[in-house]
Amino acid sequence: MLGMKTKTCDVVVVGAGPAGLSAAEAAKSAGAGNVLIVERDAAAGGILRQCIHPGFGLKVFGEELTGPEYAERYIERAAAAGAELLTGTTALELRDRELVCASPSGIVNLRFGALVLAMGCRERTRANLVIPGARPSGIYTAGTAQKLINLFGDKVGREVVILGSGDIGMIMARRLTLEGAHVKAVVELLPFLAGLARNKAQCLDDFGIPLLLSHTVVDIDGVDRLTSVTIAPVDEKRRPIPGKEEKIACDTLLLSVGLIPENELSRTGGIALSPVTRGPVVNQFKQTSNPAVFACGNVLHVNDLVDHVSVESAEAGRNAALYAAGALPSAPAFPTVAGPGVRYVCPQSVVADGGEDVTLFFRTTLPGRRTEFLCTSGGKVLATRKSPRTSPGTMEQLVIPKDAVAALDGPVEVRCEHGEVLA
Amino acid sequence: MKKTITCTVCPRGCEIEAEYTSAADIAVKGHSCPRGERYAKDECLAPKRVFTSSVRIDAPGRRMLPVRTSAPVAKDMLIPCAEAAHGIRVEGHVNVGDVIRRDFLGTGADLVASMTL
Ligand SMILES: Cc1cc2nc3c(=O)[nH]c(=O)nc-3n(C[C@H](O)[C@H](O)[C@H](O)COP(=O)(O)OP(=O)(O)OC[C@H]3O[C@@H](n4cnc5c(N)ncnc54)[C@H](O)[C@@H]3O)c2cc1C
Ligand code: SF4
Repeated sequence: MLGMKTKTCDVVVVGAGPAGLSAAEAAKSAGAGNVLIVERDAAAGGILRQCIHPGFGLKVFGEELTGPEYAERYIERAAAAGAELLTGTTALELRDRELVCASPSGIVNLRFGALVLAMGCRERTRANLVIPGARPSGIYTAGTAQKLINLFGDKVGREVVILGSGDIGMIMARRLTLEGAHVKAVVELLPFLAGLARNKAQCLDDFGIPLLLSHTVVDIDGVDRLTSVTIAPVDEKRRPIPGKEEKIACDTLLLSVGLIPENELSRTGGIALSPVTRGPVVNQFKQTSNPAVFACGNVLHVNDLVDHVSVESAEAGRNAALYAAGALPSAPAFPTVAGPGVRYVCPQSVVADGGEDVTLFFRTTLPGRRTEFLCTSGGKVLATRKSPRTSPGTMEQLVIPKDAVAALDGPVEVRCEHGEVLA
Repeated sequence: MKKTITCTVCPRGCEIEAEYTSAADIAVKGHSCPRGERYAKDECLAPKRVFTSSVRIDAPGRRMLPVRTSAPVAKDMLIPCAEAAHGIRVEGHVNVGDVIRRDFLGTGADLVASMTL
């Protein structure tokens, strides 16, 4: 095609959030010749640019950083390692060993030895939920409100109700309170908190913001602007209990009801996706169903901690470099299985290669106390861990020692046994 | 006095039980590390938090500069800090870590930029 440019790279990374930056740095350090990051935004940093609150970097840097500070360190590290960054460039279509991108100078075809998907996630919106009632203005996802306030200095509202107890919603409850708004309630459908306990403590409890568990929004009122929402408690089947409705006057409703990995691009390349995580199905190398394509960060599964993202993404980047150089080990792979009490396990398979220990990330289905996590294969216990308190909002991990990985001969199951269930 | 505290120092969020009569006599249990013990004691006597916000900046293509305090400040200073941050305007180029206000509102912590713009 006329005007179409083609470029060949050892490793191409899609997305310059913390995942992509860490993957690119690691690919370069692992010896990849040219590493190129494509980013659709005008600047690198991803979602962290708008996460101005502290709480990042305790694991990786041993200090409490804000999102922008954490991002800046990784932007510098990727640049220092020699990774190239192409901003304002959107990856549109994935073919077998080729990525089609729209850049400011037109369509670019990138041929790659290996590709790392690091597109992050997006928020669920009202369209993904079913809330009856009117459609006035004043309804935002928590992340959109975060962007408007933190990046653009806009005001979003004065009297606020938040639906969903995810981390972004709780963080915005605090932010709006500091901005002078009155956050009247955080309403959660489930009988337990969706986000991290520390965010309830420092974002809700610190400011006396009520958390209403087992409640939902059943109606929305307002013509141009939102004027009130009606909430109601729900029964064990999560159905609103009639006659118990309560109207709360407010001009703003924030939705913090979950994140969805952004895999449109993966679909164009026919990458197999998990119906549970909604991200690509991978082995411990973060390798997808296309062996030249790797995935990491929130596009793989939604993470609560950026520190995990950086570590996991460095592995993806390094393995992509090894694959491009024809040096990634291969051996039979065995599936991982989410056993009783476990919602999902990532990676979805383990290659029986004993080069390194394998970390399995997983989430529990219910919160509990005095919990024991067990990883077994064919009756053998490969790893265990005890935890005083667990919740589905916290990503858990177990490490299978490399000798046990090398000796694998069947599926690997992770299960969770609570001393006491908290729901 | 008895208090149940969720430690916010790290994402593990340990639940800590603290019992105290005076500053010299605080018993804590449930923490998993010394940082948690210190945090729980602070929570009993003088809770502290890092303050973050974003302030106006006159820079090409950008309207807001994210800022933070260089150290945790007294918890009841969060709202006064937020009100004072509304009035701040920054001009020109800023590096991450640049001091925007020294000893912000007498908290002993500086207000610093958390992004290079
Ligand atoms: C509001 C919020 C609050 C959080 N709070 C905390 C916290 O307190 N502590 C903590 O540790 N973690 C927190 N996290 C989690 C952490 O920020 C994320 O886990 C991390 O940012 C994920 O990084 P990522 O690189 O996978 O995704 P992102 O940061 O979303 O980056 C993805 C990048 O890919 C780009 N992209 C997407 N599609 C394309 C395409 N087709 N072509 C080119 N580029 C593309 C996007 O523009 C973006 O820059 C929070 C997350 C959110 C959303
Ligand atoms: S006590 Fe230690 S491990 Fe537990 S949350 Fe606090 S800092 Fe983290």
